Amino acid sequence: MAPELEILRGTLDVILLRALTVGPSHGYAVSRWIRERTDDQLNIEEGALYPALHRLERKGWVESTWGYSENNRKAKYYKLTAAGRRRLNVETATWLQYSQLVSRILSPA
Amino acid sequence: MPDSFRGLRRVLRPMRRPAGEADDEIRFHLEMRTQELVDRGATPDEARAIALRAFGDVNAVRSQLNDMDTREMRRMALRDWIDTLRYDVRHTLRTLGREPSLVLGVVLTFALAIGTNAAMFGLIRQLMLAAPAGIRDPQSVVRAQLIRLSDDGNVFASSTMSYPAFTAIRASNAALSVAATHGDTLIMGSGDNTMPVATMSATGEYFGILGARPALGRFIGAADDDAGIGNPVVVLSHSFWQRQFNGDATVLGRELTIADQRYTIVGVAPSGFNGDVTSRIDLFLPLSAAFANRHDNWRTNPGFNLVNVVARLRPNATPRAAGSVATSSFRRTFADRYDEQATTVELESVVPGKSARQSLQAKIALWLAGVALVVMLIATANVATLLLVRAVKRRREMAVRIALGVGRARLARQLLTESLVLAAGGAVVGLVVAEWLSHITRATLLPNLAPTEQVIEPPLLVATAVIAILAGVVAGLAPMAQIVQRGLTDELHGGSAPGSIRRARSQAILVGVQVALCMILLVGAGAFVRSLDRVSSQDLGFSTARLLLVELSFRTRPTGPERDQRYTDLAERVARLDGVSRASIVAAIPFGYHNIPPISVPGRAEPPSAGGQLPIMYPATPAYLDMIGVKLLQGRLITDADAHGSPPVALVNETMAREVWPGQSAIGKCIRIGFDLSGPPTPLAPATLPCREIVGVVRDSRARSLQRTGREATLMQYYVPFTQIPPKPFANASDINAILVRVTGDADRMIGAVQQRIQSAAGTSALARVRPYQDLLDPQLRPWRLGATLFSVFGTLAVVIAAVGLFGVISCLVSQRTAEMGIRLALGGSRGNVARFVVGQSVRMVAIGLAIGGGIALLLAPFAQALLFETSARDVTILSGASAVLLVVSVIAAILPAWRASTVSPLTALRND
Repeated sequence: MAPELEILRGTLDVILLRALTVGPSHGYAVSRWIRERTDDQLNIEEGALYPALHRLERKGWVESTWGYSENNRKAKYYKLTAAGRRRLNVETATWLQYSQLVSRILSPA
Repeated sequence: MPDSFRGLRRVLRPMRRPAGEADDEIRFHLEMRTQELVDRGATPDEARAIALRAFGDVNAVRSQLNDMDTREMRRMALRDWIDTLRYDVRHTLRTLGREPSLVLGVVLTFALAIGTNAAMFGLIRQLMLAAPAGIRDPQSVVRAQLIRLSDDGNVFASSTMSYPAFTAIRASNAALSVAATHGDTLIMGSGDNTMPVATMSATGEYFGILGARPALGRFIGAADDDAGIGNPVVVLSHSFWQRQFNGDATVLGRELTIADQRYTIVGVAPSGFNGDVTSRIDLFLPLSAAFANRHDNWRTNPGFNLVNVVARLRPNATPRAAGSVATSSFRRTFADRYDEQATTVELESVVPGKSARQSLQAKIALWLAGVALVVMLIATANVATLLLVRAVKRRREMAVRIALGVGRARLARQLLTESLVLAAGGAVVGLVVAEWLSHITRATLLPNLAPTEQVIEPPLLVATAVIAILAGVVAGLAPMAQIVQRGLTDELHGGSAPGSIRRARSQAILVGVQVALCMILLVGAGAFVRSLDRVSSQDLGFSTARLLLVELSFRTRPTGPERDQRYTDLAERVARLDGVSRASIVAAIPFGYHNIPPISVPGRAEPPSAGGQLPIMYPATPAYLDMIGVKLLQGRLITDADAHGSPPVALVNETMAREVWPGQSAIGKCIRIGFDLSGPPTPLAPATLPCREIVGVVRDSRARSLQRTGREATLMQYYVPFTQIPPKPFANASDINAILVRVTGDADRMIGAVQQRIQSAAGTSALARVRPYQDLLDPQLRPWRLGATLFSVFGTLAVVIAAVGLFGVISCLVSQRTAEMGIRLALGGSRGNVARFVVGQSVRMVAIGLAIGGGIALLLAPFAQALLFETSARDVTILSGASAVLLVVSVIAAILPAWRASTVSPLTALRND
């Protein structure tokens, strides 16, 4: 298995926003979605997701409601707002452009 | 506690919200993760451990989430509180918008009172609390004073001393650094383009001691003030730079002509910096450069009192300890001078201390502040009365709202918002009033104070806000108490509510408080007006009517004899000018310059002296005696025949005749006047001088004080012909100080025209300063004038305010008791009786206040007595006069409501209920 990668500073927010495009989900579902998308190669401390989600909520990019999970347990669901979706688009574009440039610089000539 | 505060408390108090939500969220995550691992085949224990490890620090995350939630909630609570506040303010503005006359009355009342208080606070701060602006570490900067003990035990303090006295203090090593300063008004410019400027000349250490930083260029340093003639450089004060050069940054290097010397501008002082003094300074010069043209031995002569001394103490040194070091050095330096051996050097911080608080200006400011505070109390009581009256009118509205379920606390909050909004309005208008008032007070009552560049400063804003909030809360309490009171809903049942008696009582108390305070102010007004009247109408033994005093500033520095010649020539020309009826040269004049030469009486070893005071000499021309109004009692006056070379003569006043030759006629006796030019100075005139024959006895006049107390009561005065003045100890000294001019009309009105004519007669080489002679007496009249103006203006203001309040209360009383009036009328009571009843109510309320206010005035009387002139602070006429004024006001305030009550129709009144 490839070594786990440390998450880059500032990218957690955009990853969470992307995770919520799938639909409203609770924190556990978000963490599982990330693990599955990255084959467990991204090393995110699961506990760190929650403060980040709360921060996004305060910025108005996600909304939260208490609901019931698939196994009928009480859980807090996060949902992307319109502002959050716009933010995600901007961040994604920036990130893609940035990573392309960095790859171009770093790739062997 | 009303909700308003509960809401605010929620915002401020640290909150421990039940950690439930964050806990639930974390627990759910951990359980789901464990379940996932178990599903993949782990044992429950393993699964739990892995889940926990993957999660990280559970406790840290939990407390982080809780903190975020708490902050969020607090933010929301604050937003709620602000929203409600905004709603209340909007509601208040809407409600008040419907009552413009109430708003106008309350805001104006508050504005006048708050403005007055803010202005007084600003003055007190400048006079008594704050060090002169721009001084670094002002606690260790001190001024020196010489305290001298006279033979008869009197103590004289003098802050002006000779240059050798300064060098003695500097050499004592008592302080880190010592500087000498000399303030003078000099002429700037040349030709026709001249103006007087206030200068401060200082030795090189001065700016280092004060530790200020120049706004531009540099300050004057030690190198500019070499022992020779110094460097001709000048530093501009900030305000002078703004005024004369529009703040032009390229002024450095330009030249100014000051007293016919050319100076180069090397710097500009920072804004607000005024040296260590409170009187305005325009220019700073090096002392040796400013004195370069002095042809006397000012550096070595201990008889020229020229300089003030400023020093910076060593860290941790006390002014007292440094002063005693300076004192012993001073006494050693002047070991050959017997009279200096009892002299003490006192050092006092430039931060206003005890002595600043005892200055006349400070006393005036304190009085102003005290009166301003009383006006504030009256205004607050009055606003409370007006709001209370309004609250009574709104009882039904309030009752309906309570019945509809609006909380009492909520209503109270709205009422408080109302009075605070009104107070805030008052504060804003009040700041405008304050700015205006403080300019007026400075201009009229405290003219010697350096102008502050800005009146409204942060401390003043804070003080104003505090005053406004206090007044708003206090004024709002009265109507609030009513709302919170039980029984308000009774209002809906109709009829008089049981609370109305209590309400009437609280209104009566508020009115009583206002009347009592008004009474104090009116008694003060009466006492000061009478003092002013008595002090200004008293017979001083001389007259200032239609007299102007002309003083010359010479652009060149003429010798003494040249100076005297210029004055004499000008006096002759001035006497022929239009609008002038007489003119005379003057050497000494009551309340002006004094001349006390050595004197002796043949056959006596001691000079004549009364109360330790030698007789004062007035050199006089016949015109002078006529203009001043000297009254002859015996013998003859001085005439033109008493010329230079003819037998020397003198006139003495009654006191001198009585003191020197008791039981005999002074006519024909003789005195010797003049200096012993051969030996050390003594107060006894040498017997070698010719004896002057007394040819006349004249009436006493005042010389220095408007109050005939102490030395003023036993003042000996004598007059000698100007042509026979005794020779002076210095060859270069001059005799003449001014020209006295009598104009053909009112002195104040003619001063402008006469000034122009005199200036053109004086030519371009001297600047003529013309002022009414009365100006010399004015500083002494000022405390009485101040008291009279202040108490009269504030007293009138207070009475008007209180009358409005009284009118409001009586009107309200009448409208509340309409039914009762109706019954009285229906039962056959006459309309006159009803009207009398209403007026009686008003008079009763005022009478109680009068009694209390009168009592307080009697108690306060001893504190004011020292400030009054031949007037008792417990004068019966004044007390009864003030009472009469207030009683008349109480009747006037009740006339309209009484008329309304007496014209009520019994039927309407009864149906009303």
